[in-house]
Formats: sequence, C-alpha cells, structure tokens
Amino acid sequence: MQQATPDAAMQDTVSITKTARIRSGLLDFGRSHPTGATGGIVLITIILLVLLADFVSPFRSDRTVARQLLPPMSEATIEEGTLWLGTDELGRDLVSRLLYGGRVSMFVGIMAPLIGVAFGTVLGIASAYFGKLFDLLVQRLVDTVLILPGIVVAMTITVAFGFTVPVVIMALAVSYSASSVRVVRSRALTLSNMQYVEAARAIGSSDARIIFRHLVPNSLPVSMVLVAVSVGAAITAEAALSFLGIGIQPPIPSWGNMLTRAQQSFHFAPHIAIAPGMAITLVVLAINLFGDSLRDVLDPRLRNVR
Amino acid sequence: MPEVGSPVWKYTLRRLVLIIPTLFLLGTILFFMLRVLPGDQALFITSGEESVASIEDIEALREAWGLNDPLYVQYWRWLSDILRGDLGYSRYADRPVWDALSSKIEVTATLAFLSVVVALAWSLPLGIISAIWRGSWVDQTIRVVTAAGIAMPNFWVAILMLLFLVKFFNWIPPVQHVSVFEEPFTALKRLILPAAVIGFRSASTISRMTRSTMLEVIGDDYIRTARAKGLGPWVVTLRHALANAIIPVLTMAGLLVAALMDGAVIIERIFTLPGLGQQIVDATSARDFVMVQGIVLILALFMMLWILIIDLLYAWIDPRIRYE
Repeated sequence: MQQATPDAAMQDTVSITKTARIRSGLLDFGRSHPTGATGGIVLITIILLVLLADFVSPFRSDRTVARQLLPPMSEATIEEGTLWLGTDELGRDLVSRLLYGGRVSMFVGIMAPLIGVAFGTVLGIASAYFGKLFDLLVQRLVDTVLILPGIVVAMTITVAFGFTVPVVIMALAVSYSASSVRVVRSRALTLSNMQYVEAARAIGSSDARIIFRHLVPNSLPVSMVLVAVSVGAAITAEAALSFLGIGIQPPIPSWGNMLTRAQQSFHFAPHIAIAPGMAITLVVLAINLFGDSLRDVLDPRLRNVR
Repeated sequence: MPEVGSPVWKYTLRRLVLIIPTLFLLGTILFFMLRVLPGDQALFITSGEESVASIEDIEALREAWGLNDPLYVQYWRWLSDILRGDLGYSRYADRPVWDALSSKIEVTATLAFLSVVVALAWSLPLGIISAIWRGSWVDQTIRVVTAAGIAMPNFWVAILMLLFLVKFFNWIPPVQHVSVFEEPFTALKRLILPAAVIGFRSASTISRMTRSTMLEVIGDDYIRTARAKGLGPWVVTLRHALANAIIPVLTMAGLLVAALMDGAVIIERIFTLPGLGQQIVDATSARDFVMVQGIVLILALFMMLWILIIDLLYAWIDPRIRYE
C-alpha cells in the first residue's frame, strides 16, 4: 500500500500557513488514497444533506403529500415535480423521509462509537496504567461483554430501557467500548513504560494528569481509527434494531424503521424496500472506504481490527 | 486423538476449566443488572386488557414466586440451581427453561453451522481467484461485490432475496418449521436461504482477507522455489500458498462467530425461525429473567467453545504455534 508522504510537505512548513498545509495534506491523501478520498467526499456530501434537511428536503418527513405507494419516476410524480422516489405506505415523500431518517441514523451511527470508544479509551489506558487487580477486573469484564453477540447485548438494553434515541446510542456503545478497551490497553501497556511517563511521575505529576495529558493524547490515533471503522457497523446495527421494531420508533424516521413496513408491501411496491437499503449501503461503503484509508495513514498496524 | 497428558490435552483442559469463572461472572452481572429493570414477571403476566388481577393478587404471585425475597436470597437460589445444572423454571413459558430452549438451540446452531459452510464455500474460492488474477476484471468485480457485501445490511439482503424469488420464480421458502433430525431435506430447504444471507456477509470479509494474505504469501521465496522445481500451478496455489495464507484468515474466524450470531439473531426474525434470537427479545420484554439468563449463558458457552475449537484448529494448521 502506498504511503502518504508527509515529509515532502513538512519541509517548508515554516513558510507556509496552516491552511495551506492542511490543503496540501488533503491533496496528498487524495493522491495516495483515491478510493478513500472518494468515500470521504461522498460522506461529507451526505452529512451536509441530512444536516441541511430543513432547507433541502421538499417536504416534512411526517406529512402525507400524495397517494400511497406512488412508484418512483411515475407520471404522477413527474407532474408533481418533486416526488422523485415516490411515496411510502402512508403517502409520505420518500426523499424527505430519507433525508430526515438519515439524520437520525447517522447521528446514532456516529455517536455510539464515539461515546463507546471514548469511554473504552480511558478505561483501557487506566487498566494498563494501574495494572494489578484493577486491570484484572476490567479484563474479565471486557471478556464477559465480548463473549456475547453485540446485537443481543443491544437488544436486551433497548427492550429493557425503552426505544429512545439516547438508549439506542448507549445500547450500541457498550460493545464498542468493550472492544476498544482491549485494543487501547495493549497499546497503552507499551506507552506507560515510556520514559516520558516515568519522567512525568518523577516530577510529581498525579495519575490523572499522566493519563489525560500524556497517555490519552498518545493513544488518540488508535481511538480515531477505531471510531472510523466502527461507524459503518453502528449504522447497520441501528438499522437492524429499528427494523425489528426494538430500536428507534416511528414517528421518528430512521433508515431502519423505514424498512419495517417494507416487508409487507414490497411485492407490489419494491421501491420502499430498495431506497432506504441503498442509502445505508452507500453510506456504509463510503465510510468503510474512508476508514480503511484513514487506518493506513494513521496506524498501519491496526489492519486486522474490525 | 492426542494422548492424555500431552500439551494439547493440558491446554484444552485448562481452557475448558477457564470457561467456568467467565460463565459465573457473566451470570452474576446479568442477574443483578436484570433485577434493576423496572417491572417484574408478576406485573407482566397479570397486565393486559382483560386482566382482572388486583394489587393483592399481584402481591400474592410475587410472594409465591419468591420475587419479594431479598436479592441475595434470590441470587443464592439461582446460583445453587445453576450449580446443580438446573437453568430454572420459566413462569412465563410455564415450563423449565431447558425444555423451552432445547428446540430453539437446535435451530440457531443449525443456522450458524450452515452459514459457516456457505461463507467458506463462497469466500475461499473467490479470495484465491481474486489473488491469482490480481488486477484483472475478475479481481475488480470480486472486490466490488465483496465491498458491497460488507456494506449491505444483511436484513436488507434478506428482504431483497425474498422479493427476487417471489417476483421471478414465484417461490416462497416453506414456513412450517421441522427439525433437521426428523426431516433433514425440508428443514434444509427452509434454512438454506437465511444461511446464505448470513454467510454472504461473512464471506465478503473472509474473501478480502484471503486475497490480501494470499498476495503477501505469493511473493515469497518458497513459492518461487516450488514453481522452479516444476510443481503445477494448482499444487503451488493450494498446497503451498493457501496453507500459509489461511492462518491469519482463521484468526478472523474467531471474530466472525460473533458476526454470525449477530446475523442469526436478526435473520431469524425475518424468516420467523423459532430460534434463540426470537426468544431472547420475547423473554426480555416479558421480564422473564430466568429465561434471559438461560439464553445468555447458553450463547456464551457456545461462543467460548467455538473460539476454543478455532484456537485448536489454528495450532493444528500451523505447527509453529505452541500451546502455552
């Protein structure tokens, strides 16, 4: 795999401004990882679209605007001039549903790994730093969580605590924090034996200071990669939960619960089954391409981490 | 079969013994976590539209089922049952947990096993072909398909497959459930589609892994030597390259079990297969904690045994690995 060459860009950093440096860094990334850059661009476009749904979306996601189950690109839809993807089982515009649903799905898909990995990073570092009994307890706990299928853990949590957005995020975050504890801990074991940690301790830094000022910043690349490679899986997991009716509930739209009703009407209106699935696939593909390239740049050793 | 007392034997035994504390810890954590949830079984069973249960009735049920005892008493009761190999009695299903679960375990286990078969049958040839003809249009196609296979949610693939089969072949998989041991053919007809859906996703991951490890190996000196001494391309590829390339792929297989189980739980619900995934959702919403604990312990045991088998297999394929 071709590596980005930061050296060339670094040589005249003194003279060029920060923006120029970022620009040349992005160009390097684009040149060495064209698929990753494409994924990144697609991803940013979709994020902008769903964030600006209030302005871009032709209708609100919960309004019945036309006949039920209008096929995409039909004469009726072309007359309307807006219903490009047709309407769903309640006559709501699919484009608007995709935009607003995407907002929820992507929010959950990004927040769950972010919260999970952030918690896992601190716990993993603390586990490596303190060692002894604490380390042992944390490791057993992580083993226990990881032995179960992630979806079972998430299911049990949402069924028990309710089908709201925060609960779904937390339910998914549990698995990501457990798996990140493991990866971060093994990295932090090497870090906490470094001389600068010893030096920090020698000048009387507190444990909290060493962890948050020295060890956390040095583990950040690993954690960033973990988040990047988990977002795709998190979006899929949210969709699966919501699809089964044990995730995000209507009337809040999500790509997953848009598919719930699709199972009944897909024989005569396949478009309502195809559109949300395509949206998930496109986003997850873009994230995976971007995440893989990010991993190559930030930390090639993590290649086998899922 | 390795002889008693050999390193393999000791290693296996130690791993098997280590399963016990993990299950114990899991069971204990789960026991207390579930008891924190709002609502209990007495409340769930007596609630409903036509329910005439009074608060006194519910209270009487709780008293009779021991739900009013202090937590440590309930915990002790559960623990002593488990140690006797008794998973408990589900009030909601009104039968012992093990009785209720045994047929569901069969469904989930068969599904998981079939998906592994499908995944391997798909992925290994694809990965090898992709590596051999690197850069060709075949390779490009396989890479696009597998990248999409990882990105597509498996429940969506299931919906599309059903749509496709009904639209073009007017065929719906059988809905009546039968045991694999009684009517293997009918059962397989019902299970093969869900297994293909679950396997497809894992197959994408494995074939990409196989491709990259094959490519790493193909450049090695010993492959050139094998070619130079006149071995045919198939012998070189399968006997020499694949044997080494498969090792990192197997490590992934341990992780894939989790993915397979995830898939099984979701896909079971789409195809209305009466398996563990369906059961755990029902049991959690019914606050049937004994049942939830039973399912989780069985799933965990299943996963740990699987990982152990893969670790053993791993060392069997690669003699450089020592048991420690």
